[in-house]
Amino acid sequence: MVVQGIRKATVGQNGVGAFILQCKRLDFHYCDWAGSSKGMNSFLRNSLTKFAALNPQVEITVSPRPRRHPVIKGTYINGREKAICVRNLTKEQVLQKAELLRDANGEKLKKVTKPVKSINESVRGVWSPYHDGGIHV
Amino acid sequence: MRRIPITSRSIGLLRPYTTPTPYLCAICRHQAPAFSTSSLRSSLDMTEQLRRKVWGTDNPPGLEDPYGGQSKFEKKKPQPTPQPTVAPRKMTAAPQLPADYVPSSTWDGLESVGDIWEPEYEFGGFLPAEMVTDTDEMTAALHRAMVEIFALKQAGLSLLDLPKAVLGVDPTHDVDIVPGVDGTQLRFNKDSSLAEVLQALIHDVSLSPVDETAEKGAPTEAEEDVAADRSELDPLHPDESSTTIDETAVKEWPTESEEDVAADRSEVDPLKDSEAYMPYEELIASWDPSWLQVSVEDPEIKFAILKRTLQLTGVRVPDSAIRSTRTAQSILSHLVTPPKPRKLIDALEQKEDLITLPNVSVFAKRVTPIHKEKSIGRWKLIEKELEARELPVTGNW
Repeated sequence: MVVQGIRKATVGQNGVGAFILQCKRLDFHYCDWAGSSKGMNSFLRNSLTKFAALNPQVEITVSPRPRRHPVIKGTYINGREKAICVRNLTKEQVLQKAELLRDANGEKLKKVTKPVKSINESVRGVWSPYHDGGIHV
Repeated sequence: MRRIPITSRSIGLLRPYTTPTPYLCAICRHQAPAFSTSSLRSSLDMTEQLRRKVWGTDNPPGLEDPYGGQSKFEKKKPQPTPQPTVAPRKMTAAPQLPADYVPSSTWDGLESVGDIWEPEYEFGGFLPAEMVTDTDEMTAALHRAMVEIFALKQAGLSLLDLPKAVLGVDPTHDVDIVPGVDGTQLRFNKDSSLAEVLQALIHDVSLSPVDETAEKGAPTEAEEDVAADRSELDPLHPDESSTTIDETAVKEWPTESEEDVAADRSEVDPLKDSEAYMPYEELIASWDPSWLQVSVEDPEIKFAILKRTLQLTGVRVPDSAIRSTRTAQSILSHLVTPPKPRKLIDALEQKEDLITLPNVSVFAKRVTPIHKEKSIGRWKLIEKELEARELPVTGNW
């Protein structure tokens, strides 16, 4: 059960007043034995310190998961979880995946069909100088 | 049609020899040719052969070379270069064999097959046979090396003339190294003296029985007498006579000196019994910890210390690390390497900067759902509810 915000008349926009990172926790699971964890283990040994220090607002846990592929799990403030299997990835690729999870908002992936995303979409659409007959001087 | 055997062909009558052939079986008689139709390869050249044919004799008249010399083409031909004469190898003197030595023709009853074992050619390495792995022993070895090197420096002796053999007894246990403003000083406590340390080193070098008496007398004397000792010791070292003695000592080493050294050790040991069996931990604790901050920036001292430490422990400090070492502590950090962590958790726990971060938690075991429930204090409630419903309390712990 995740703490939900109070309902209000206006819709809050993350980043308008303050930016709140949507990812609240990252779990790193590794295996000591399996070769698919090689890059993950290298990341945990060498890069995790810097990554954790750069992201103090994200809780980071490291725990083994024996005989399984390495996984990064992100937990978001909307109550959802995202997990990425990082088997056989290199240290740099694991870092990319961790940054991807950190930057994600926790929502399901949606197909983006419109060029503009807004909570107050105009029925007229976006004005364009090329599609209105032009300006005659 | 019946084939005529080879031997009975008419051409067979031209055979150079007319003597009857020895007995041949029927098959051999068929296959083995009784004569060869190919011309004989003679050693004579074509011109000579022609001359002989023309004249019909083996000794044709006339000059061997009617034109009085070699032709132009023959002159132009490269003369075969004379083979470079190899300088005769110097024969080294064969090792003296015993008078009653008789080389064996068979290997029956021999203990070993090959050359006679010659002790003077036996390889004696600089490094010890076994590498020191214990941290405390390594620390003690570094301390010993430093005391010895600083003692040599204090006495004004050459730092590089270290003994090849390492004496079992360590006279440096009771010596403190004190970093000072005007250079590092050695502080000798009650059971030690500069002379004793130097004697142990010199004793190692020369292995001469003369030093024994000096060693016995030295501990009783005060440090002021060191100067007097020095005058005795110095001439020994660079003197040619002492070096010749050294050589003989090395040669005699396996035959006679071994017993002498054993006897030496048995004499020295009872004096040092109480110290020799002191555990390294207590020994290290007894030293002033400031010895680790002693500067070793002087390249000569640094090299000598590293060389002696290498000799005592067998642990090599990499060249790249030597340059950056400035204190005894830094040398020790290169000598004593922590064992490679087998598990990732061990490696992570050694990383102080990661563990101390407030947002990071590292677990040694798998984190199960029960752990998660426990961390937020819900597991007790779940357990109680399960028991109330008479359900099994199971799960991954």
